[in-house]
Amino acid sequence: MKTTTINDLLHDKHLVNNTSFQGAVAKKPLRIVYGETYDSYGLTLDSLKYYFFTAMAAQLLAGQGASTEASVIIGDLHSVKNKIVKDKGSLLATASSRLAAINKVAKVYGLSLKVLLMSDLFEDADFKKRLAIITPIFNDSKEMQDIAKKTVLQNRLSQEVQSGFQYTLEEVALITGYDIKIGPPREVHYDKLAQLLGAKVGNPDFCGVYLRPTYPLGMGFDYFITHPEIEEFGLTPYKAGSNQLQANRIVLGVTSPAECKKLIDSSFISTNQTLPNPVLDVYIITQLAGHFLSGKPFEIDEDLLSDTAKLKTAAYEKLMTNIFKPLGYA
Amino acid sequence: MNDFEALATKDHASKLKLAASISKYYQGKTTDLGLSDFGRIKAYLEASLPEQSRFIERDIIFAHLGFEPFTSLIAEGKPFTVVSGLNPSSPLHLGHKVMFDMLLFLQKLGADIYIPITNDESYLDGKVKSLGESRKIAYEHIIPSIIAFGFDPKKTKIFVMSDYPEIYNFALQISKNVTNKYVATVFGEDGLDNSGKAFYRSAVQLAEILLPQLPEFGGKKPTLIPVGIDQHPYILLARDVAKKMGYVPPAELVFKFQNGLVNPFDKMSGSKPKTAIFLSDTPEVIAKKIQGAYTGAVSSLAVHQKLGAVPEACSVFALLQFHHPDSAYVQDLYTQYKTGKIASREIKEIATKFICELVLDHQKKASAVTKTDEFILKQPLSSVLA
Repeated sequence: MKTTTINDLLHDKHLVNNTSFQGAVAKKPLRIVYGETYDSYGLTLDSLKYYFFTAMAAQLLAGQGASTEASVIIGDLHSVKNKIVKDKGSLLATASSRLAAINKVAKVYGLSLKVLLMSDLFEDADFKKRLAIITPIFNDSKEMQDIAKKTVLQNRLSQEVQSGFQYTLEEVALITGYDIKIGPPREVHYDKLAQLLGAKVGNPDFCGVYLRPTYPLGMGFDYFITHPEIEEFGLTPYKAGSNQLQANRIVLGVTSPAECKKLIDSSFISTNQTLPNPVLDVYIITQLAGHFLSGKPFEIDEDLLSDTAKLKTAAYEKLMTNIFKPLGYA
Repeated sequence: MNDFEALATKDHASKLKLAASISKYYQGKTTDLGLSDFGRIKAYLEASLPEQSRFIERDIIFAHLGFEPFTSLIAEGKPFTVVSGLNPSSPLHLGHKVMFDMLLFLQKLGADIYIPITNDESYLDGKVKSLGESRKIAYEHIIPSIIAFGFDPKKTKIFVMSDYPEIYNFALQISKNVTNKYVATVFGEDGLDNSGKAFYRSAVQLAEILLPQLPEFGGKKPTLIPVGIDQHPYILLARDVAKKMGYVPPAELVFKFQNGLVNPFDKMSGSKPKTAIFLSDTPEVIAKKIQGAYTGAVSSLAVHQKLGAVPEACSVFALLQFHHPDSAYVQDLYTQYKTGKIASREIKEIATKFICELVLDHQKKASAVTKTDEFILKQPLSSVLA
């Protein structure tokens, strides 16, 4: 099926998990945002899915007459916020190289994206104003604090509570400056807060689009059975080291073509579409890339969904032609 | 609609209610007993096992407790251990066959199988007059019948409890870790009306479950116990005691009962011959039992053609559901029966022909069994005396 409208995109079950955005084209300019933190392992292939999706949503909305502005925010400050992050200085310093890498992707594929640093946005007066408005409301609301607890993993909860949910409040203050936020399924809790607090900062229509979870490559079926949380929410797409599974991710400029092939070939995948399928995700990312390279509509070859061997072959081949070659990693 | 048809319509409604009760029973037990639904694992196994199993395809396995790690062993082709025994108070029936077929399926996936034949329990429960009687049944009927299913002697260990007395030393060790109060809570006073039963339920049965974790069998290891839902208290007790004694808590795979012939809500029982088809029954007896079995169809053909049957509440259809190897065929029969395209008479004919062939084939294989010794566990248990 070809994707030619925003409605097609939002209802692509292989790409979108769920959304509160109904695709209505408003008169005001629509500000679309995707934000990500990073770790020291580099830029994941999975991040590209979000860049492509964000740019494509903006492109399709614009095609329907909307005025759009799409941004990618690099969460440099939030990348080093966690206590367990070692060598915070050098990780913070890599923000500029991350910015350059995303800009390179945007240039190669012609993505209309503004790439911004969180540290710059935190200096913005509007952001500071929103943070000042929502903080006391949040502090007085047990309901919101309970939602905020769900935004963090159990091992980081006490750190977050101690800081008065500073990370969460900054995140919410940041995203309420936008109309549509693209993110992985686990971020639904941030967005719930943003929806509750949006009206207080003049943005009552804030909505979220959640893409399908990101799964590790090169795993047997048993991995997903024994890790139900990964099965439900997936890994953090933009952090290769999520759950210390960096060896099971494709990191641009790090993972060689031979390693990619091995990862794809050794992945458990099934024709049962309800089960995790990391190879389908690779294929989808390459098809999104292909759309921007060729200008042809984004399309998933449905025949591949019923043939796992063909899907693996197509995913690898298109990874090379649509991603590694154009970005100079082949 | 005449009176006969009105009655049949009412009967159809009661069969639907019965089917709903059976389904609710299994769902309710899964939730109430803190078991996990097998559906999630089923989807993965169906997509990855080289050979499909009717137990998974037809939801005969419906719940589990701690099965997840076994999927890793299966995926990696590593061996794992399964224990499942039976009470030799009668010859094997089709309900036992469900369990042994499941053990065979698990053996194909890499399992080492331990089969305790609990003639001590048969005696204590009063199902036989003497230990000797249950021992005779075990050696003359049960063991050849088990071997006839096709188990691999290198991966199968059968032991008759009265002939493997060393296990009682292990049971003695276990008994020190179980209080009388705990046993009474798990089994109730009725299940412990003599001291032998109390010792059996609180220690001996646990020794059977934990036996493969003794050093003589390679030490501590994940062990899987396929059981009917009524055996769940034993597993909970075994898990608690295993933790206390430093063994790996056994996992549980729970399967549905083979429906009894008289009432589909009951299970087949060796002590109630009318409810069961024995693997020793003659074709004439089988035909008679199936002919008199409870079905999911009503007596008025017109109403049956209009409303269809209720296969979920049909003891005859269940025979095919549990035992016929061809899933597509069973599914097709299900649809035709449910939509009233085939009558209960035809279902009975199909089931009689199939079950007679199955039982006769089994009898032929069992009578050809001459070597049983290679399956019998003789390993001395010196570690428990150390």
